[in-house]
Amino acid sequence: MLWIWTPFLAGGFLWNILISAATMAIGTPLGYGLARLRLSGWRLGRFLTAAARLPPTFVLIYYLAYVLPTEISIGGVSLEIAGWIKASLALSVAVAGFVSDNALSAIRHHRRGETVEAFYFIPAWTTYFLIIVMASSTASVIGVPEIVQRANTVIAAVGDPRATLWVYIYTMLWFLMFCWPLSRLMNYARARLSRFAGHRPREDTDPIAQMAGPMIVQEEK
Amino acid sequence: MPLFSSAPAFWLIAILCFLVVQPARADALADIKARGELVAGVKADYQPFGYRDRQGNIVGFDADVAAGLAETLGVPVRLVPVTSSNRLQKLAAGDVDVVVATLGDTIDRRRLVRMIEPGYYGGGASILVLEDSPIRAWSDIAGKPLCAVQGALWNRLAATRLLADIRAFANTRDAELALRERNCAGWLYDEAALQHALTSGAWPNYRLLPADFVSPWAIAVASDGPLADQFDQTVAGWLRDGHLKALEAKWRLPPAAYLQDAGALWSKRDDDGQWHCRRDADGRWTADCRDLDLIEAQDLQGFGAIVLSLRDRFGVDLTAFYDPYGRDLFLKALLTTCILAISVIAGSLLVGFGGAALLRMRIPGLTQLIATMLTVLRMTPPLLQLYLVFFGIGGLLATHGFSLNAMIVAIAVLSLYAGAANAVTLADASATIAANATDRRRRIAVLAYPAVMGSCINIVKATAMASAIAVPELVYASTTIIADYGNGGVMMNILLACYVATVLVVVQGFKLFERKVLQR
Repeated sequence: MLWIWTPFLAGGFLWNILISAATMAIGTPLGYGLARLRLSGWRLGRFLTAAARLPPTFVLIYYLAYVLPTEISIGGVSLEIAGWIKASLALSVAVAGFVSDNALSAIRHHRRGETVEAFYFIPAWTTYFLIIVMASSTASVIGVPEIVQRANTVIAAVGDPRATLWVYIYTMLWFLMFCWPLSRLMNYARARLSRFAGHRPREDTDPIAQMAGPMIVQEEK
Repeated sequence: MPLFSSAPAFWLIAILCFLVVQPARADALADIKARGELVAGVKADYQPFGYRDRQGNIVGFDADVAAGLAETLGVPVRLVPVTSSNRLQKLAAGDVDVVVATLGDTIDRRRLVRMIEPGYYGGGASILVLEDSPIRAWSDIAGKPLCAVQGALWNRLAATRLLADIRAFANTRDAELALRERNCAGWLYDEAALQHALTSGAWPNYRLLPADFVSPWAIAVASDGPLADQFDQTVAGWLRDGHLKALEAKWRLPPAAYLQDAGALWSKRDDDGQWHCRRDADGRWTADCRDLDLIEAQDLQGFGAIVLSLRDRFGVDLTAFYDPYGRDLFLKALLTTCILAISVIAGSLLVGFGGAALLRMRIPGLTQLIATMLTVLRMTPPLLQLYLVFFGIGGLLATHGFSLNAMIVAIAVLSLYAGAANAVTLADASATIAANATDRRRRIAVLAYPAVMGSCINIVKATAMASAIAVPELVYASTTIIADYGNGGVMMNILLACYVATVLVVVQGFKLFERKVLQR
């Protein structure tokens, strides 16, 4: 039964990736700009970074869905603001806050000539991308046809209450299969970087830290 | 900490910037003709009025009505799915030109949109209950939990007049699932739809209450104008020529009393041979044809002059808070959010300490098991976890006669989610501090504090997701109020302000604890 719906759900997951990619594309330059602002001593940069970290993204998605118009016209050209764009904009607020903090420390390292330490930014950024992939599922609440929304559609179409659990588990697998390998890869990248930098490799042989990976360490600070 | 103290001012300014009145649109009819299509909002989850057929196309009674409207304008129709909670919003925002979505006509709603007169159909509410349910009449629902769908007219009426405990879900699917899981004593919904569901055989051992709260359904457009006038004329014509009765038969609906009566009224001719229902000099229908059996005109007495002028001058509509139902809903939601926040912080710390202790024991097998669980918890969206437990596992339990409480599910899932992170942080910290170190506990706490604080703040933010399983917290209350009052901008600003304030309180609480306890 799940096989029949797999292409439909896979199409939904592509939306998650698209939303997340757009989110990073919007949030990263914003965050970088904030970091430069903070470096040049402007209080505004620090203040905006703090503000970006305050509101829950789930609430922001609703906020933009209701407050932003669906169409804006700039100089006679009308632009449509689709639901997924609103979701990306909402999520990019958190990304801006995150990038602002991490880019700041990367730039400082770079200026001190610690190039390898500056490269820590890349695994941290990729890990945050994974967090955003998972957060993109909340776009379902404003009707973006991403995988969770489509899973709900499938459940409604199948109509069998016993299938509900399996459809959700299958949807979860999609996230696991995407996020887990990438997360492991970033762990590896981090380990390589710390060897390059001449640090002792992390001595914990704790299987938890290895399996659960950086998702735990790299929460919003 | 200055980083956080300056942020509220920013949000206040940002919020004020959005409190502006939306600009008026140009003539809708000319727009539609220029664009060459009529964009109509219809339901996609409501058999047989608007639903998806096997090919995925939206079909149904309402879809046919929308197509008929487009035909009178000489343009093709494009159908856009809407829900009870967003249909008026979409119309006001200009996403759709017209809404044909089982919309009950009320005075309240006439303040928001232009209802086409006469109504094109009419219906009331009913309640789907188990055959052996103690609910035999509408008077039996006081205090009973009823599943409902957000935005339906009768939700508020059943709550205020009949004192039912309404649990409104975002869509019909969720309400259906909740009823099947025995989360409520019945499903309060549109009579025709429930009738249809019952005859389709999907609900063996269930029965329906006779209809109540009957009202006409209206097609709606954004504002007065040539488009509205033309549609008025079209629907009146359809009542006279039997087009709507034919559609009713086509979609196998039981004959509605409304169509019978309205058809007779609008087909009546005066002695001079003219239609009895016709436009007067002002362009209005004859007075006795407008005699709508509206369910309840909202009592708007006792309005503060300031609030009125706020609404009329600046478009800031706070009327929802003058309705005791809206006010109670919001205040209770505020309390629910606070309880949720405190519970998940406590729960995630509990899971964190317990998990860390288990991890430090290094029991073979158990550690691996916990590690796998952590990976799953951390690498799947919490929203999906909520759905899985509430609808997935809840569905299985329901077949055995158990039902899950949405609030408890939300607290448990979110506590586990954040607790997993806390457990690893605490276990890591306790591994770092030597076993014989002095003041060991405090040093572990100091080391783990920033990460634990971060995860607690995040989980407080994530409590908003509980609205997805109809926990009546702030997001839920706000969307419910918006569905009734159409004041999206205002409610969203209030909602955001509430959440920013909540997060700030939690942040300050953690800072205070750090200063007073950890840094002594």
